[in-house]
Amino acid sequence: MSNSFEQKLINTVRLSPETIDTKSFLADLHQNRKNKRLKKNRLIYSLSAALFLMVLGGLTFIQLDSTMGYDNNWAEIEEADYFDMDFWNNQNEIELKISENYYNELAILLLEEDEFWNTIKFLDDMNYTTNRKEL
Amino acid sequence: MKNDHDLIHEFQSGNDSAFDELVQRHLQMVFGFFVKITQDKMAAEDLAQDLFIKLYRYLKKFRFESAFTTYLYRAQLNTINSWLRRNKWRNFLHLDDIPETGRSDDTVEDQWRKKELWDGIYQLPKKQRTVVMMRITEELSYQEIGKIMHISEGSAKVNFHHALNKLKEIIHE
Repeated sequence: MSNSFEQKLINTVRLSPETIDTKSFLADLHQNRKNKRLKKNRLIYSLSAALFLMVLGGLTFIQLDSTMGYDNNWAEIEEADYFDMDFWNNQNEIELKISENYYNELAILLLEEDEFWNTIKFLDDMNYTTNRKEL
Repeated sequence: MKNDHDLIHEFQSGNDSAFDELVQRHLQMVFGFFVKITQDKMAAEDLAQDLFIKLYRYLKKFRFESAFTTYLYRAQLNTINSWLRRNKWRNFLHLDDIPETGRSDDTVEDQWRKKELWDGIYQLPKKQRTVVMMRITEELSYQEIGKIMHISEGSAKVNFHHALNKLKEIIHE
């Protein structure tokens, strides 16, 4: 029973022998093999190039990012100077000292020119009381 | 005349024409096997191309532990099983209602019978399907089938009989 069914199946799939042209099959085979290898190589090159570009891009970004950080700090310092509204900071004190010396020199210059009263008046205008006592 | 193993040795030492000779020697058998299963000469040729391209790569590592024909049958089975997997939905949806055999001597009734049979075989579990394919297309002995599939002769026999019973149910024989 089983054997007859098996034979029936064998007869159903049995075909008169199919043949294929071996020469053209081999030519196609080698061509396809070459094409596949080329495609594979192209894929490998593309992936390598993409990886290289990604690494390069990443490194460039890191480099630019660090430079941008430096610029930001620099700009902040600049801004602090430009918009510093505290006129009586250390820098101004230095300027005042310079001015004091300048007044002294002017007063001595006037005295050397025998402008005694003008010197007193000048010091008065400048509220230069301490120096007047010393003089 | 050189045997298959001699040709593989030559191929492994760099002689590509030895590979061509191997192809020439086994092509008709491989092609015939694929034609019987796919019922389509074009598909069979594509499958044979696929198989021999892979063989070119893997034959460099062939270890001479079994006969080349056993190795080739195993490769054929793997190729056809992956083809069946790829075409599972195509067959399930009956996209090819009448298979294209390209043969004028097949009547429509014959074609339908073949289609019904292959639809039934596609539905079998992989092990049973493989034994059936080897048995009815290549008419191999259970011992040879066991060797190819790495199973015992008894197991091949049992799988075949289970498969026949299922096929009978499927095609209402």
